[in-house]
Amino acid sequence: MKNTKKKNKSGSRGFILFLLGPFCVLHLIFTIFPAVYSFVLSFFKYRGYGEAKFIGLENYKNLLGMSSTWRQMGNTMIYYFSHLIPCLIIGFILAYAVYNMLGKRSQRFYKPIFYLPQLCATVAASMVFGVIFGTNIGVINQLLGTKIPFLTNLNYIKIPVIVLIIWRTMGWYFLILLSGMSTVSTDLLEAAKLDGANRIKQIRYVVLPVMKPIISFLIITETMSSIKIYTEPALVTNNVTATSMPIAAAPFVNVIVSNLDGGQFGMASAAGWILFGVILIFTLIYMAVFNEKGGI
Amino acid sequence: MRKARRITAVLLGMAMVAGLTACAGSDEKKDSSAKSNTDEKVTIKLMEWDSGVDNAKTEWEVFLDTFPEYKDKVEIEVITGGSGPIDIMETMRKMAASGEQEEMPDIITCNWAQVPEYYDMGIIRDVTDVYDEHGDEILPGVMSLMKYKDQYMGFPAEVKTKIWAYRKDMFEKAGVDPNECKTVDDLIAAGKKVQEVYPESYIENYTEVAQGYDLYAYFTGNGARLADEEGNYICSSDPGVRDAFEFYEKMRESGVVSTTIQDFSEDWYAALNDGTLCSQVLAGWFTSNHLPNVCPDLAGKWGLALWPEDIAKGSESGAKLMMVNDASPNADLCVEMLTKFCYTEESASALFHSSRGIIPYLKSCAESEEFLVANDYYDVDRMETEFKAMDLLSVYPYTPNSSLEETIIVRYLGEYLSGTMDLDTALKSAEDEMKAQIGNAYE
Repeated sequence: MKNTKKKNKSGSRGFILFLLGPFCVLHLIFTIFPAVYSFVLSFFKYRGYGEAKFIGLENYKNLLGMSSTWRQMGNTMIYYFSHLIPCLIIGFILAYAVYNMLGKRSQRFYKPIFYLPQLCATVAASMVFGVIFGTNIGVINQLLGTKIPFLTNLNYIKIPVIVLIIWRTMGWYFLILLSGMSTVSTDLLEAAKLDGANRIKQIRYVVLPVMKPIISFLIITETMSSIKIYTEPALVTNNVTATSMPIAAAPFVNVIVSNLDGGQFGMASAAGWILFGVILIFTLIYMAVFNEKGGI
Repeated sequence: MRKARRITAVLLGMAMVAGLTACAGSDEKKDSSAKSNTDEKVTIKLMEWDSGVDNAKTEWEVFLDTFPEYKDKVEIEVITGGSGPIDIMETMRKMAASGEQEEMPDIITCNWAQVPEYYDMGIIRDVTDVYDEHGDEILPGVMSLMKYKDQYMGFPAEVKTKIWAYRKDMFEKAGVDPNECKTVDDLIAAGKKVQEVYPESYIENYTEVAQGYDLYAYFTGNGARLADEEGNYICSSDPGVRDAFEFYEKMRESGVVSTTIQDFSEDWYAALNDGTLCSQVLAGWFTSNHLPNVCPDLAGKWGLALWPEDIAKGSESGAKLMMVNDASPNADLCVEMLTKFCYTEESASALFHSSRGIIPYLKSCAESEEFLVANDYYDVDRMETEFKAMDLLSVYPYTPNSSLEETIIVRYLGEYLSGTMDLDTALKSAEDEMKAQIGNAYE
């Protein structure tokens, strides 16, 4: 009996290994190995050919010592927070309104409508926004009767990028928050109503605490992808390459791209690991906040 | 239960084996097709960036029609290497890093800015023999663009002259002759004179989102250098770099250039058509087929002139080159075909009369009546100007790190033009950044 159990256990272990094996091998080759390789590379000066020269922490020291690195990190943070906060608030309001005030049928209508921008190719959307924000023939300037150089003046250049990011990501926030609404028990809401809670109190004391895992998932996944933003600013500022993206608009990933383009693989790797560190810090902070008892 | 698991495991195993077999099979198939292909014709792979693919296909078709003896022997496959020469460079770096030089395309296109790095990589066929043999027939300006250090690197796909395109009708009405402009001040005065008749019109567009090709075209005319010959970055003290920055600021402050129209934007296309932009100072690259495509209704209204005498020398990033992969089994054939493509009168004539109208690179053509002609879009002065500009060609002393240098210097030009930094701070910051990110220009 004992032997059969043991046999069963080792058989199922083998089966699990068999199932996981291909993934683990591929993950090792295509994720873990490149990550370790790039980490090692970040201590070298290497152009992709010829000899790699070990330079210790020089790449990190040089990157962190450049003011443009910090400005580009600042731009990334501006893009990140300027879309995270409005998208969370507006996405929640829309999801709440559609879930609680409109019927299930209307959900079928609103879900694809709000999600549509997410399906739109970033390149196409960016080009359209380039037209919308044009100085002379742009829709916005024509409507306002102005000639604001949104795309050519470094004081305004972040505005179209931020509007584009909000437009593209709002649907994702809406969809996730709408699915989160379904986890809120109607019994709880009914009970809150009976206790005299108005809508604001229902949201504050019932809906938000129940939706905490969904909101934390949304913020953490968005943080991971948003801090790596690159395509939108590059395309809206009319630069298909990083060659001339101005410091005032360039996100941090531009440091990686321009070093890759310039054949500085070690420096690009170091910038990649700095970005990894920033994402890790944000993720840990959010996890700590959301795991805290009574957090939001 | 156990039986079901076993069956599932066996099925999964079979599926994986089938998948692997299929992959191996497809490779085999590929190999055999490649082999049969080589038995019949040699396939020459030419790597171009996106915007050049169609032109290259057309031009090589013209070539094969001109030299039909190659039709049975050779098939030219134009492949895309990305959106620009930097993408191709990146691909080549990766292939060089993985020791795949033989897998690289037979012919690689690049801009002059990438030439020093290709030289350092040591993957390009030295074609000095071709230039030793044909040097007397080739325009000296073109010859000078094909050489880096001790090696002739390749063949011209496009020579980027410094040409000023202007609206003849508007300039004539304003009484401005661009050929009389000798200095930058004359250029500004010409712009102001045009504005007296067309107040909403500009002779160029320079925004705060600065462009590398504009800056480097100016560099080639005033001897600017970002690094000295030892590779030390000197841009904060180099008079040419300072002069170039001041030129852009001076032009913007004069009011004769638009500060809100960005190249390649919808505003730009509209402005070129409606006369808001009545000229483009840096137009060598777009006179052949870009302008006729962008402004088809303005045929006969655009004229070409040289830059003002003081800054006429130089080029816009030198030239676009076609270089031969030294490890290619077809390298000799590629050199032979490229020599005929660029440096024979038959090919020059056929390519000149084809859709893009490539300007010939031969001395005999520059003197021939066949080429000094008008076409559907330009008057005869186009070719006269183009050949004159070819005599003035020179190239900026690019380094193997030019790509990153350009990124950095252009950004700080933007910082200066936007008023975020004064000139000294912008130049010093650019120099510091080059030192930090690159170190030495030649390493």
